[in-house]
Amino acid sequence: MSDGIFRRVAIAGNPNTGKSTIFNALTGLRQKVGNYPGVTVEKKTGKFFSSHGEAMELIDLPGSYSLQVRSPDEAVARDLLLGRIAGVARPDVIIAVVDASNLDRHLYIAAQMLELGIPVVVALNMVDVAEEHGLVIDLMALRERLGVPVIPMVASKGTGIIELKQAVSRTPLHKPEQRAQLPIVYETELAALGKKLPYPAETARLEAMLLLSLDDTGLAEQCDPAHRADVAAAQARLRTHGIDPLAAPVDARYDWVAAICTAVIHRHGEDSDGLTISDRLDIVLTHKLWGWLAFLGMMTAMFLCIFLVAKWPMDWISAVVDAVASWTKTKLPDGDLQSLVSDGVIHGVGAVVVFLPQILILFFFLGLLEDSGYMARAAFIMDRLMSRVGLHGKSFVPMLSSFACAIPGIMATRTIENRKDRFVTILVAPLMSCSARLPVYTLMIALLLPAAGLWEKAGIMLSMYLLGIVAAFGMAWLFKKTLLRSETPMLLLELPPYRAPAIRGIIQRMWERGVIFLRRAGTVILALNIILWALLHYPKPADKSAPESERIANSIGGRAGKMIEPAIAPLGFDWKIGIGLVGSFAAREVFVSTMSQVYDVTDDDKDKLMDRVGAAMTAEKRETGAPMFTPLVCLSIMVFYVLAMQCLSTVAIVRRETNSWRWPLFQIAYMNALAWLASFLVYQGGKLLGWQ
Amino acid sequence: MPKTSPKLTLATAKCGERLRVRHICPDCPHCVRLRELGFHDRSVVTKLADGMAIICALMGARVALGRELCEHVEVERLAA
Repeated sequence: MSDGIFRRVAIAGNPNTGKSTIFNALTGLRQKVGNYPGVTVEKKTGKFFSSHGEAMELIDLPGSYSLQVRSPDEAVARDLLLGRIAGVARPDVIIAVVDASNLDRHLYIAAQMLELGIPVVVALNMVDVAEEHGLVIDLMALRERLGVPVIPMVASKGTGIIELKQAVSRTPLHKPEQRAQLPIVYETELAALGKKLPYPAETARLEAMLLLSLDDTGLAEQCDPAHRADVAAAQARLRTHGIDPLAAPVDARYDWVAAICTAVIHRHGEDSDGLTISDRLDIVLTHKLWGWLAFLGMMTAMFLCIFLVAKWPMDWISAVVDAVASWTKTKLPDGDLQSLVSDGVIHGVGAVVVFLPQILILFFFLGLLEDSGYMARAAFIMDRLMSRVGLHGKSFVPMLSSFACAIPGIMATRTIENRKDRFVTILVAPLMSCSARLPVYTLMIALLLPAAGLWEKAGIMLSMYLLGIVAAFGMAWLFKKTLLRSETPMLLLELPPYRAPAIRGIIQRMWERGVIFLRRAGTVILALNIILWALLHYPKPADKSAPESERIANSIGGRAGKMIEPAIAPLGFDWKIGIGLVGSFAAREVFVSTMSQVYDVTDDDKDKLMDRVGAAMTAEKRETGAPMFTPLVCLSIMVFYVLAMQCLSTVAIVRRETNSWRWPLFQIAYMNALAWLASFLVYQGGKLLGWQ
Repeated sequence: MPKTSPKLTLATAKCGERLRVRHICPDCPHCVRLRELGFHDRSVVTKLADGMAIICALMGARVALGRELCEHVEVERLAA
């Protein structure tokens, strides 16, 4: 191949079969995340070398139960395997990952893979679990029945990786010849319809089958109007023969799979119908009451850890930032350059980088929840609540991911089948407090309750997260009743067995997210801090001995803050906070560094950067002499940040995912109006009650 | 008039019962997906948990279904 790639290998299978573990084991860190041309779904590829040293490209396809798709995520897997994506070649070989402990179910999608006309290698993963369940699989018989190589594996322990690599490296690779047998009438209809469809001969049969398996709604949505009549007529003819066109292919595959399983699986001991460990755990974790308590307990533990464990590395980073800033000041002469490097660049970027440990801990917990299988239970528990606002429990997973960052959260909505539900979830996902809000909450909580203990601080933090959840649910309910009205979707969700999380995989994901965060800090946030520094330092006052407050007030940033002051004064904010708000519209976490520049925080004393920013803000007074950052103002700022749409990257991803500017613009308008209104109610309501 | 016993569905079956799928209503919006998940005719299901949503064991997997969806899955009891 022209790009030096010997073979393109796609890795496919049901969710929770260990696809990602195999992908990571084969590619290591040689991975990249991109997008398929023309579609919004993420394309994860990696590189590995065959047993003869040739470069192979590995494509990690989203987990899918079938090629008869229901969500945008599954559609990508189908389209790639059928060669429907323009500019992307069909893979040369497919690794079909199946769970050996549940072969009769997982071979279903492998049966579909065998119909694609592409060489297939079956990765029979989790053979250790199958053995624990008393199942012995006759590999020779399975290979013979399927007509393709079958590699027994325990991917989590690296067993079978070399054999898998050898199997996909082999030349030549043969196309599968075995497949489920359909009734002859069905095959005749497939052949006739396939000839009318504009697809290559090798995929025409499967394309025809996908169309014949659609119901009326599916036909209206997915079938080209030019072929709709042909498909409907073929379906009608099949029905006259007593064949259900939708059910026949599914039943034929399951019958074929059942025959194979009967021949190749030997059970040792009694076939136990008793409860498994997962079932016993589920009795508690999916219980109406205990399930909720366990969920809230896990969330509380997560936030406590974010405070407790992250404290030490945050202090170390802060000390390094201060040391570098001090060193810079000793090396550079007094003046604008020194101020730019020390205050704008080092302190500005440092004030954001200091939150890296909290973000990594957040991703660690989310990884644990995902890998252990608990995330599906969270979706199940939340379905009771989600269905009350008209959404599916699946919508909660993108929302939970949005606690880390709205961008992966919004991308995770691709698993949601209904378009309107997906859009509602996209619209409300940024209301969940992302990690970029953490610095703002931490700073404000320190000002609000300077002498409070850890539990009180964590409690306030948790209540901000809860406010975001309540707002997201409320808005989802409103959108489902008005703008995106549709029926409440029915729950249909697989609960994977609980498993020990693959720590290596979680650390790899933390590393990826950490790199993204640091790259963002070194690019967008660095640029914003330099711009902000310039806006707060120019134009220079004519009187060089003018006090610092006067210099900032006359700067471009100061004037911009004053311009928006009338709009934010009812929320208790002054023009200096206004500068922070304007900066936050590019990236929320910039608020802390903006405050450090606005209040001209120096590093003359021994305190940490965050403490100095806090001290400067505590000392800030209004013109009346009253303190600026009263508890009420701090609360109002936090409420504003919970609800406001302030992240350009999120706006861009919403534009991409909805394929329109209409939705991101609407999102900006409704979220910021909501934020203003809620902050207004908090501040003015609090004042009416006599609070400060 | 003779009384006809109401049909047994996954929604009305008791928790802990072993059941065999008799029929899935073709009008059900998830009919094909249910079949692909293993709820095809003759498959054996054990109902594990009941409530607004139902959890059942099917071919070694655990599947959660909304109660409304379970009403589309007609089942028969199997001897314990």
